[in-house]
Amino acid sequence: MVRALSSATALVLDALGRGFTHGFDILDATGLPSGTVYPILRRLEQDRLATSRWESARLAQQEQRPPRRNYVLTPAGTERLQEARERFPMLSALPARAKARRA
Amino acid sequence: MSRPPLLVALALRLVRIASLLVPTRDRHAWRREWEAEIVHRQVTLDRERRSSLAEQAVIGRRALGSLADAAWLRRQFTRDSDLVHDVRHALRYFRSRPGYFAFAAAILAIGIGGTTAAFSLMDKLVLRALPYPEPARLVSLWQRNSATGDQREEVAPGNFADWRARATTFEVIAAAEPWSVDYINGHRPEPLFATRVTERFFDLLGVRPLHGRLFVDDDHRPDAPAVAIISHAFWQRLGGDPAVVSRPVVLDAAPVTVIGVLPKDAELNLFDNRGERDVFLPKVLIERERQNRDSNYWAAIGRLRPGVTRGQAQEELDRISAQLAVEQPRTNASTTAGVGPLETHLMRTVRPALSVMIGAVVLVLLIACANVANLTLVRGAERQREFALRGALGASRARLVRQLLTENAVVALAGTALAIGVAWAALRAMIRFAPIQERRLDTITLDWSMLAIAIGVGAVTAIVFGLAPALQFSHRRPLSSGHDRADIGTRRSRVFRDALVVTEVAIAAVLAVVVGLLLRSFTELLETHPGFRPERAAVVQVFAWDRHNTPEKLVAFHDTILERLRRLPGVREAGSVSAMPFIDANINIESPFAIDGRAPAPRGQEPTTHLTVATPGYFSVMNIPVIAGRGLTADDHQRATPVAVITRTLASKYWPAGDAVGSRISFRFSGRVRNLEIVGVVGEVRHDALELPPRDELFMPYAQVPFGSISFVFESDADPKRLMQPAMATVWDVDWQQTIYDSGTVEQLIAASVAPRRFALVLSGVFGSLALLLAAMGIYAVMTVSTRQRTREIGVRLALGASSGEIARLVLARGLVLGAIGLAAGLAGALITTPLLQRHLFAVTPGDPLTLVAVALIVVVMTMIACYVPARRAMRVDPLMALREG
Repeated sequence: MVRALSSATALVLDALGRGFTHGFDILDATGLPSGTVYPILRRLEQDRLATSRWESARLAQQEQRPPRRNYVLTPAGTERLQEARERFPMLSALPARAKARRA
Repeated sequence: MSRPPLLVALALRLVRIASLLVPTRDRHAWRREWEAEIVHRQVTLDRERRSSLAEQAVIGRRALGSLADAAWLRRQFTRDSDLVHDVRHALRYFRSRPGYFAFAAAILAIGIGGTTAAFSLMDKLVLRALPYPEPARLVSLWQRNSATGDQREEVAPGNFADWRARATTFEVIAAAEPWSVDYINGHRPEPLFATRVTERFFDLLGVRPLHGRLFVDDDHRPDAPAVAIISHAFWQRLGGDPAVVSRPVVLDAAPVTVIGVLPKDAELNLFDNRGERDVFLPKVLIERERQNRDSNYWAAIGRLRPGVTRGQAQEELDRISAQLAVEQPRTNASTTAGVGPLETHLMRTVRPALSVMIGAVVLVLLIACANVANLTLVRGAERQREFALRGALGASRARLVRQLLTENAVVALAGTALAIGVAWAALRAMIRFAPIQERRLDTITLDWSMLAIAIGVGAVTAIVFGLAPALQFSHRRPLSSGHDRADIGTRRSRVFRDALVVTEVAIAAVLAVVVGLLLRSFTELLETHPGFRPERAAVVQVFAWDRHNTPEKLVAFHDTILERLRRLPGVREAGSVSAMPFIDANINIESPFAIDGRAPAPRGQEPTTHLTVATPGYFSVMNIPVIAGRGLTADDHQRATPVAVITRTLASKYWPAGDAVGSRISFRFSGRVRNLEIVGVVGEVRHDALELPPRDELFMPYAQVPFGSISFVFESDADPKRLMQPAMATVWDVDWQQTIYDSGTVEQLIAASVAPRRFALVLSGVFGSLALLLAAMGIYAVMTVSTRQRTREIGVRLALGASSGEIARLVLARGLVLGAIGLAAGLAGALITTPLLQRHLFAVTPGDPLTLVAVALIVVVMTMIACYVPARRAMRVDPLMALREG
């Protein structure tokens, strides 16, 4: 089922497309509240536009923290991202802000 | 990570709490994901030495989002849950079958609503205890007269005084005397029904005053100041101000101090006449009353001592009666005392109706349950295929049971919601038709606990029988019926369903017979000739002694009004009588008499008759025929020979040879012994109720025996209602302070006398119709399904050349067979049960053939109507489609 594309979903897709794979990183990248982003991630996964994996336990142990869950776009998700970019042209203007926050 | 900062620790705690919202399946992973993000961020901040309160606040704020995330997951899960799924499935299912849904809900609504309304009424009127403390100890006392066979008479003051003095099984015995007082309301006098009560009357009941106080023994002393206690209703009329207490009101032209106000629920309808008691006065027992054992008009009540049974009280009263019979042989030789629950006495007017109703209600609920059971069984049978398929696709039996439960619960819910409306409407209707003297009815509201019980019964039926298909499903191999549409429902279940319908029809037929018998009794009663022709007659009743206290004044008052009434435009004739038929507050005087020239009868066994005073106009207004001799005339004036006319019943009883005219009789009347010549015999009149036999009566001319109890009757040449106001104004023109006690057309008086019967009829009529309706619905449902089941057979028949008329007959025949079996069982049941109705019947036998035939016709017609739609449907079957589908 293809859901209507909201701007928040477009932002999350965009973040995923730009390689932000973890929940909090996506929050940083989009500037959206966590209560919005997480349900979007769940839905993307339900609709098979994204898949999630757990990062390797070894890496996490090295950093003395639990393993994180990362999300990547599926091919369908990538297609959907293209649609999103066409529909919301200003998406390309956003990375600057996200990068600024990360700095 | 080392020990996290406070805000981060709080964030982790919040995530753990939020995780409780997450469906169990995902909870662990979900929590790990959130914790990992939080810890990772903190570790990173620590490593980069950027940890600050601001950054920690960001983490905290994000953790708040975990609540939204968890809630979202929960919503997703719930939407997919079995329950929600089942409910949605059920709604979808019913949307595609609105007819079935409405049908089932309506049956439940009628059954539950009707039962609730009936029980709410009964609960208030019969089942609930009196609004007094320890009501089981409250009794009413009455006199029995073994000579006249009267099992229930009011009590004579003298006997009451002796009972009270001698009985030891009672804590208190008290009596109430019907009374009335004149109250000037504005500038029109108005009669108030009052009661004079003996010492400790209210204490006996346990009534607490709303305001002020109750009577104390000193109030009953002859020299005590005049005091009164007023009813809640009258207090409201006076303004409802507590300060009314200790203020005087003018009653019977004298100031009386109000000392107390009764609470609203303290209604006590001890007397038979209409109207509520508004004023209570302390009774002062005078010596003359102590000796009065002849006229019995008091209502006596008592409170038993703790531990004393009614049987013990009865034994004691029997002993006292035996003593009194010896001490007072003239009056008490044949008098005994009776004792019974006060409640029974208070409920005497509505109880007959209610006992009929209890039976009707139970039967209707039975039919409704049978109907619901049938419907759900039918539907289950229809869905064998669906369930078989779902079973084959892996649905467990538990899953199917759960789904059916949900569906039935949805129907039950809708039915219940409707039932509240039905109950409310039914209750309003019943109260509207109740006999008017039951003021308590006004306070009846729906009884929610009764509603709960009725809903329980209905819902359990719906649910239990609704499960049948799921249970049957387990007995079959899942796909065995997958492609066999004609095989819907096993033979066994079909027989069971048919039996249910037959039962419904049978019960409905029994109820219909009951209603029919009551209806016949009622119409017979209304057609009973009262002995007079009431069409255009009306009456205005006064008691004139108080204001016209000498015979001369009385005659002047009486004659002036009668003369003016005669001259009123539209009045054809006017007359007066001292005891008007069908009026409540009559002065009925029954007295022993002796016939001149015959040996006196032994004491206590003298012949008795009612003694009435009338003018010649009374007989012509009422169309009472003269049968022998002559009627009263204007020539029977004061100075003429004292004469009387008697009724035919009296004449035939004591002058069987027809020689009444010309003989002389003597009796005491108004304190004097009278000796009169009987000059004529007139038609007898039913006096108190249409169902009671006409009474023996002797009429004396008013001119010779002026009397204070006067009912002016007049005949109008058109609708007598129009003349009521002018007639009352005529009385007030002559004396503006004269109170008018009762007034109305004679037809209204008769209608009021049959009100309790009408109530019983309306109640049983409502439930009888419901029963028939439900039974018809049952037949309809069964025929609809069986027709659908036989679609293929019908198709084959049509293909082989059967006409649609033959098909319709096929359907009809089966419906009629079911209806006929039910009818036969019902009529047999009616013959067994209706003798219980005997005392509610009038001029109709329990096995009345006309009623039975009528009910049979109704049931047959009802069956045919119920079969009509299924038959039409069968006629329209397309043979090709039927064969292909089958």
